[in-house]
Amino acid sequence: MKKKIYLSRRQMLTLSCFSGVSAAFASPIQMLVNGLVEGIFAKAQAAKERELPRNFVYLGLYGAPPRWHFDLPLFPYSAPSGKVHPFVGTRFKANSGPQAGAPEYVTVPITRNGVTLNMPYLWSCDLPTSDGKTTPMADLISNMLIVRGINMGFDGHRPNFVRLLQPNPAAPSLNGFVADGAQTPVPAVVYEDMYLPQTPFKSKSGVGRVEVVNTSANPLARALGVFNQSREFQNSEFMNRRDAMEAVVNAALKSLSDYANSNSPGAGALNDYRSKAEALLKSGVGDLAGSYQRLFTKYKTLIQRCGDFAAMPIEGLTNKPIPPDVFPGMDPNACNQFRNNVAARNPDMRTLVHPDTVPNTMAAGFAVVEYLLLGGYSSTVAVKMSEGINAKLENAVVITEGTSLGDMMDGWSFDEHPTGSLVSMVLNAFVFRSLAACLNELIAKLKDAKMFSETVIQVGSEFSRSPNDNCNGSNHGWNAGVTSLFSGALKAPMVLGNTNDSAVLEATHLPSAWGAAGNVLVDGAKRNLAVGHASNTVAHLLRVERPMKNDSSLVTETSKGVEPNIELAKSSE
Amino acid sequence: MKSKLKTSLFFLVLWLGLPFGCVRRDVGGAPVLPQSSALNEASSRIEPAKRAENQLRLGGRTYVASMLKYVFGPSADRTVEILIEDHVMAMGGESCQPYRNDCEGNDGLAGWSPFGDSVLPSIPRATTLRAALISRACHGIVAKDEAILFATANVLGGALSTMRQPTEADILAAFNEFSPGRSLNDESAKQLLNVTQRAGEMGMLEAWRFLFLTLCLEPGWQIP
Repeated sequence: MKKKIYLSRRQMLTLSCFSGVSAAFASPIQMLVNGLVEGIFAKAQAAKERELPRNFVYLGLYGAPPRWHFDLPLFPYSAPSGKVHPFVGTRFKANSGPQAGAPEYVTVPITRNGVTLNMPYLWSCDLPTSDGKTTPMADLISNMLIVRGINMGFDGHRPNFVRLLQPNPAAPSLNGFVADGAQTPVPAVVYEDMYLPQTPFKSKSGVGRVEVVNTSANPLARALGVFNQSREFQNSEFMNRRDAMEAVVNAALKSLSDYANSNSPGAGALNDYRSKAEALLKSGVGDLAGSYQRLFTKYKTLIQRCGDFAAMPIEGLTNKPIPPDVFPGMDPNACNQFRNNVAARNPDMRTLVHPDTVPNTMAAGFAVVEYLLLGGYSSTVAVKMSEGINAKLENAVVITEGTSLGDMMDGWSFDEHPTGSLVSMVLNAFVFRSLAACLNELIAKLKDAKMFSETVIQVGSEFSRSPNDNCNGSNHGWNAGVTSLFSGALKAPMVLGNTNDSAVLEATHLPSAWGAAGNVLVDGAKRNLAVGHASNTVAHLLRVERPMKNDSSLVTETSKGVEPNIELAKSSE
Repeated sequence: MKSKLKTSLFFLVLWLGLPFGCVRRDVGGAPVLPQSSALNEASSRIEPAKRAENQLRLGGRTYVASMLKYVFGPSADRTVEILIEDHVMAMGGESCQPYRNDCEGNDGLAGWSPFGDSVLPSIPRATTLRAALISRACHGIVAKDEAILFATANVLGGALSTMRQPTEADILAAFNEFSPGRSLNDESAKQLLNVTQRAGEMGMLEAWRFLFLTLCLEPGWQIP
C-alpha cells in the first residue's frame, strides 16, 4: 500500500513561497534554457514561414458514384476475407456456370514502393497515354493516399459535396486557405459543369475565386481573359504616349508606394501586384482558344480510348460478351435497369459505352487544370464533374409494361439510384478508367515540371453508395465517405480508415460490406472517421490551417515522408 | 522525512518544468499560454510580408467604382461597370443586388449565389487579377478627354477656363481627390511634378492626363 503524503499548512506555505519566488526570479540557468527554447522556437517558426501552401486540385464527382470500383478497396491489406454485398462487383464472373457474367468482387495485389495493396479489379488494366502508348494503371498508386470509412453524419448531395472542401461553414474552404497563401495571378479557380455554383470557396484574407463554367466554349478565356482582352491597351496613340512616359510614371509610383508602405505596412505589395498585372496585360497569357482546344482534344482522346474496349480490353470486364440475364430466378431486368423502369437489354452490356458517351466535363476540367497550374496562373483549381453522359441502350424495355423501346441513347449520371449492377459496372469501369488516364497524364506533366511534390490532387464526392438488395440500383452511402489524394509528397501508397463488413444503413440492406465506416482509434476514442479528419488530412498535406479544430489530421508529414497517425485500414465493428 | 523529500522534489520538478513549454515567455516577458498547433499553423504558414499584406483592408467593388466615378465623372461609368462592378468575385465587396440588377456580367451572377457571402470576399485582398482590372479601368478612363477635363475641373474648383500646367498645390489637390485628407511627402510630390512636366511637353491636357493616370494606378487609395 502506498503511503500518502501529507503536508502541514506550514510546510505547504513554505514550499509555495519557495516555488513562487523561484518562478519570479528566474535563475541564470533558467534564462539560458529560456533563451535556447526561444531560439529553437524562433528558428522553427522561421523555417515554417518559408513554406507556402502546396498547389491544390480538387476533382469532385458530383452525384456520388460507387467508389468501390476505383478508390474504395474493401480489404486493402489482405485478400478479400470478409463478407461483400453480392451486388458489389468489380468484374464479371468469368466461369461458365449459371451466374457467368454476374458481378463479382475481385481485387488485384499491387506492390509499389514496398507496399502491397489489394485494389479493385479495374486497377489491373492499362491506361492510354498521350503519346499513343499505354501504361499500367497500377502505377498510379505509387503516390496515393486513400481515406475511407468516413461517416458524413447525414444524407444529402449538396451539403456533403460542399463539406469535403469546406467542412466548417464558419471557416474558409481548403481551396480558400490555399488561395490565401498563393502568389499566382488568379489564385483560385472553380470549374463548374453547369451554371449553378455548387463548389465551395471561402478565403480567410479576402481572395475571390474565378468561376469557370462549362457552357463556355473556351473556359480558359473565362479564367484568364481579363489579361488578354485589353482594349484599353490597344489604343495606340494613348499607349505610345504611355510607353514614352513609362519610366517617369513608374518612378512616381515607386515613390508613392514607399510612402504608402510607411503609413500602412503591406501597402507596398499592392504596387507589386500592379506591376505584375501590367506585365501580364502587356505580354498576354497566350493563345487561350488554341491552347484550350489542344488540351481538351488531348484529354478527350484519352477518354475515348478508355472506352474503346475492343482496342484496349480489360480482362474479366470486357473480354467476353456479358449476357443481360445473369441471376437465374431473378427479375432479368433488375441488374440491367438503366433508369427508373427502363432496362437495357444489350446482348453484350459493353456496348453501353458508345463513342458519344465521352464525358466532356472531365476532358474540359483536366484541360483547364493543366493550363492554369502548369502555366503558374493559379494555385488551386476545383473541378466539379457530374457526368450526364449518354449510353447506348439496345432492345430497351419499359419494365412494368414490357413495352419495347428499341435502340436508344439515354442519359446516365453518377447518382445511380436506378442503375442496375451490371450497367453500373460497365459504365463505372469506363468512367474511372478515364479518370485514371486523365490523372496519369496530369501527374506526368506535373512531374515533368517538377511540380508534383508541391501539388496535392484530391478526388472526392459526397459519399460512396449502398447497394440495393435486388441488384437494381444503389442509394446514398453517406456513412461510406471516401476520398483519395495524389501527390509527390506521398512516397508510398497508404489506405486509412476502417470499414464495417456487417454494415446496415437501412433495415432492408443485407449485412455485408460495401464500404460503410467502421470504428477506428482516433483522437483518443474508438469512433467512425468524420469529414473533419479527411479535410484536416488534406490541409496538413497542403500546409494550411486545419478547418476543423476538433479533429486531427490522419497523417503527419516529416522529412522522411508521410506517416499515418492511426492504424492502417482494416475491417472493424 | 521521505514524504517531505518527495514533496520537495515535486515542486522542484514543477519549477524546472516552467521553461520547458508549460509556460512560454514572449520577448516582452509576459507569460503566454502555448498556442495550439493549429493556431501556430495558421499564423506561421504564410510569409511575414504576406501576413502584413493580408491584414490590409481594401475597398470592395462599390468603393473602387464610386471613387473612379467621383473623380472622373459620367464618362467613366461604362468602363467602371464592365471592369469593376461586374467583377464581383475578383474585386470583392458586397454581392450583386438581384432586385437592382446591378451586375450585368456573368461574374456578377456568380457573386449572388446560393452560397451568398460565403464565397464573396467582402473585404478583399490584393491579387494580380484585381490589379489588372483596376489598371485596365484606369487606362481606359484616362484615355478619354472628357474624363480628364472632369477630373481637372474638380481640382481647379470647376473653372476649366483657368486650366494651367499643374502646380504643386494642384498635384496635392489631385492626390486628395483619391485620398482625401492625406498628405503627400516631398519625394512623391517631386516625382509627380516630374510626371506633369514631362507629359506637359506633349500638351497641357497630357500633363493632367498622366498625373491622373499615375494617381489612379497608385494603389494606396484602395485602402479606405
